[in-house]
Amino acid sequence: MEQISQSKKVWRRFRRSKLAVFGMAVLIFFVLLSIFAPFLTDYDPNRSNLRNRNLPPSREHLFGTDDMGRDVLARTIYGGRISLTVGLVSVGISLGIGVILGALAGFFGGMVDTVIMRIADVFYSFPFMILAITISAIFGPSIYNTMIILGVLSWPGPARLLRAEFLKLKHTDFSLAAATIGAGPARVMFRHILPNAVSPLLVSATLGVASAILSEAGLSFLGLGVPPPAPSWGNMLNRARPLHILATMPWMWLPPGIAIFVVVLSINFVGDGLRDALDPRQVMD
Amino acid sequence: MWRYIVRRILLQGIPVLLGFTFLLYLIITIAPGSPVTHLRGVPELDTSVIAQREAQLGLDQPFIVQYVKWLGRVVRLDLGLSFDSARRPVVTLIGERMPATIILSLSSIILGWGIGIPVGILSARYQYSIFDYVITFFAFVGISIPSFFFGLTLLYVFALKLNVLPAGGFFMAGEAHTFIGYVRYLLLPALTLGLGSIASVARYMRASLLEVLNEDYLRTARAKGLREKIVIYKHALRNALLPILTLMGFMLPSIFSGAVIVENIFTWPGLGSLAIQAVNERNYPVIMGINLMFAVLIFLGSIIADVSYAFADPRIRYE
Repeated sequence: MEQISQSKKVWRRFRRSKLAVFGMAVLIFFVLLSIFAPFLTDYDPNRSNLRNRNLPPSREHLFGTDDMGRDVLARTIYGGRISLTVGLVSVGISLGIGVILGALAGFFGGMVDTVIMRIADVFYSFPFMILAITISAIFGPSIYNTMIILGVLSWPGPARLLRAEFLKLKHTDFSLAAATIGAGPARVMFRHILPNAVSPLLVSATLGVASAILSEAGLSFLGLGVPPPAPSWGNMLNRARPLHILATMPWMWLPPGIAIFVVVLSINFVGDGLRDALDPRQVMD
Repeated sequence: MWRYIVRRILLQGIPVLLGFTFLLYLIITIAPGSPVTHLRGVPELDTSVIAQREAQLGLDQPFIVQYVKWLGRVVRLDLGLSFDSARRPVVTLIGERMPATIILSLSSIILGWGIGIPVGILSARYQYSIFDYVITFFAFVGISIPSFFFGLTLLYVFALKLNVLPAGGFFMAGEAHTFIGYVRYLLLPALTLGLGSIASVARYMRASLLEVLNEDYLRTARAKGLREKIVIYKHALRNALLPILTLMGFMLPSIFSGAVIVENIFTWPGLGSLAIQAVNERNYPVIMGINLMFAVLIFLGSIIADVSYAFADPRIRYE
């Protein structure tokens, strides 16, 4: 009961922020587009049709066609599938690594903490994009490598956050009580402490999805992320880079560009709204 | 102070750089495939030729030998020779590209701080005003818009449609290096790279000033009858600016990351463009050199941020 009323309170506070609600609505819209993509467009996003190249928007092709005669609307919708999936999966990977290492570092302290946090420093203090393009070029760009690279390179964020929470929570009465009645370290860590650290983790994961989508798009834009012909918003922009396309065929690059922007903006609104709604310092009402 | 700097370099800088280069070298060498086959302008080779080329480049040796040799050269400030046919020293290659990247990054930092700080101050002073809401909204836009989309849009509007600024590059051959020329070539890339900094500096500045405005010493300042302007710009601002100084060190990695993409959009002849070319060619010495260079720059940036923090805040003393 307590749990339910708590989440209701959070929801009520979340709803107060107009931007957060707006962001949520936009996100739901894009998720639905991705799920029902095959029912929304008759075009195969990957089939080129050389007779229909570079067509401006028309009734048959609402967003026109690209330089290989593919329907831009279909590619934008299917591109959302790929961008959102890469965003979610890579945040899943970074959370998986970050939660385990952050929990270990915060709970055990000492040598374990020092080693893990020094490694985190190494990852944290280098230009993400340069490492990412290096690793991607060497292992060959693919959608799976993109997810793994983004996930593995961004674990220090959640790890630092969780370590701080564990340092704060490991001396609380409830974790001492759990240890006293015989719960092992793993049980105390993941059954007793972790659930209490979910709120900040949720906010960081939400904002993490936004930056993962941006990074994927950036990598794909450089030709080192999701490889063609599969559509991703980033590689669609990459394809539209020649100056004559940029200058005369804006329908090829505006839709994917606006899609990334709107989705990332919405996720940031939602993350910010969540942060305010979950902030324990806010008055409960 | 000097003791602190030396200790930071010895105890933190060197181990982190060693760990980083070791990991990177390991990743590069365990990857499948040979760099010889990736180099530009190299025709299809049979296996014996590949093996011979690899031996020439020292790639036949075990990873740890290669790494130690590389490290031994780095200590003597030699980053080796590029793998491509010209075989130029990596130090020279980096030296040619570094100024462009530094100019671009510095201008975007100046834009970020120069615009972000005043905007953040005004936003905090007039909290919950229309101006504050507009700024908050645009700060969200600034951190959400992908740099390449923003860059392409600027390119489209100012270079291709209005035709008032060059569409990229950095001085044509024979073009005089005038100040106006610098500004013309620099404006779009620096704005593209700086937008994110403007947005985040404004957000941090606003939050930091709002926090300080609740402090007791400001109530004291007002209570003794100081004018509001002096309270804000002398008493509050000095304290609110301190956390912003440390932000500088944190933002350097993301600025360099952004530079890779921005240089690519505007064909800016900096380290980022060199990096993309090098990774596509699997040019190990160049890849290692660039990564090391960025790592050192970022480390120096964090030291400068910390030291300037100590200068600005008399409560902080590094001994």
